[in-house]
Amino acid sequence: MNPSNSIVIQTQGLSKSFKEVQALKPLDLAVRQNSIFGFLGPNGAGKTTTIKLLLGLLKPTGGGGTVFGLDIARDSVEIRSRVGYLPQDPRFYEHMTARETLRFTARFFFKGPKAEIDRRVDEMLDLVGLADKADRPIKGFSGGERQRLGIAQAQVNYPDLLILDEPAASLDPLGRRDVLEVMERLRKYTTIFYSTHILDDVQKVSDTVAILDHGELVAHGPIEELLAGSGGPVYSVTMKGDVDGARAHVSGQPWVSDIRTTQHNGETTWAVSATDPQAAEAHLLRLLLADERLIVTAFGRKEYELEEIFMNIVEGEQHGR
Amino acid sequence: MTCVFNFILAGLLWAAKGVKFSEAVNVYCLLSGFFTPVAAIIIMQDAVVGEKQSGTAAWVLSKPVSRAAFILSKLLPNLLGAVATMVLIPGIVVYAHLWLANGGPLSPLGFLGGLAVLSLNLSFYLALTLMLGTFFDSRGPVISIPLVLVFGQQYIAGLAPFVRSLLPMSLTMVQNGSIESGIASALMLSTPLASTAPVWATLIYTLACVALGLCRFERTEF
Repeated sequence: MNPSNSIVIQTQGLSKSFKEVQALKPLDLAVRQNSIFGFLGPNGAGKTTTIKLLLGLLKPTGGGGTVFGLDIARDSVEIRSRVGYLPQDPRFYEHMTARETLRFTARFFFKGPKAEIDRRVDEMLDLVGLADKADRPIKGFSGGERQRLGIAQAQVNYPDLLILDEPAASLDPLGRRDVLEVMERLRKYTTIFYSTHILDDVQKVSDTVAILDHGELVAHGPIEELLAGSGGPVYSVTMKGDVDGARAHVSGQPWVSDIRTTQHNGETTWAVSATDPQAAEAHLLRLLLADERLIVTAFGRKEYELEEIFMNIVEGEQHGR
Repeated sequence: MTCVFNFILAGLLWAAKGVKFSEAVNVYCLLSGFFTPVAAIIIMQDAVVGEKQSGTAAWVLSKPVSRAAFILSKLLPNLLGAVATMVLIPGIVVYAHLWLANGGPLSPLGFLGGLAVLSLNLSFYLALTLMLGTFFDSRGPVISIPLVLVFGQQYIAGLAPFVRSLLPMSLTMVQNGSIESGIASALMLSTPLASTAPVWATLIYTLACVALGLCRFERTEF
């Protein structure tokens, strides 16, 4: 069996209610091994609730799930022995130093030898750039330093699954870059499931994305598929000249489903939605170039940004509600 | 804490040199029955609530540790520490004082039995405070309920004398001026026990508090 095809996290109808509030509607999710799975959604979408359900910190109201094939309700301790977790707002014992905190964490996973634990602690301190502050009490740490320590403690056991809840939330741009690099580096050893608001980061490192809104899964799939858009390919053409005359001609083509027009600095840009990408790529530019009343200044297949997809989905859901 | 407690006891027992020996034992058991629970409650009230409030409980429980282990890791070290520093060490000092005051040793086994009863009394308040920590999210009720119980049992016993032998205070408190009715002092003085009911009742309460605390914490969400 190809290990990259095996499923690490699977949920079936997993749901959670707090009294009258349904924080998570029945969720079906599958996370492949060695993937970097970006879990997106606005505040209160149910991301942290899902993570806590997977870790056994919350009990499901309905449905269930497995991590490494182990039941999240029954086998929670065993699951956690193979997981590294960074909470959204990491809290530690304030009187401890960073080194003591990592030793304390490591002791949950390993009995010894002490030298090996200390070696691993040093490795983690180096990894997150806290080696020079290793022996200072945590109570003096900044938010960014706490976050770095959180990332270090989540990896101290070399987990098979790393669950990160907003890993870059309190980091400066350099810290964010470092976190993304660490995630990229760990991809071959572990599966990473992380929630974030920073869509740019997701686009950089994730291979699979799920978008949650108001406790409901509204999109789920490989990032390339999401970025390709859901309504078929869209071509962007920027022109000058008699655009209106050309529009009637182009919109009459059987492979064109919609044309959206925007104007900027005397130029007109069309977003041409096509039902047949091969026909569009073969004929659209030719049709426009053949029209002597037009000057085409730019042409290409429109590439969506994740932010655009995210906003479309979330706003669409809100309007539909 | 141990030093303060020893200092107070030494002073009292020094003062008791001129009084009846049995009364000195009685005073020791009475003070230990009141003040060690108060100290234990103060120490224990933060053990669970503090970790729930600070978020460290959720962090620890995201590691491979069971909830029962988390609770027992709060109870057992505190219990051992409290028994050692609030009962055993002061007990040894008191034993030495009494030996000197009496001009001869008390029965070591009887005295140890008395210390065991004082430890049981302390264990009950530790377990009660721990249990309340699993039920409440603020320190107020966790500290006040056991303190009310420490000081209010006399009133309960006054209102309903038939429950007196089922109250933990009967382990350490003299009833109607009779030394024999305080279980701890009776054991220390090797006098006959009026009843062992307070021992069994307190043991059952202690175990029930631990069991309830474990059940409640198992269902707590973070």
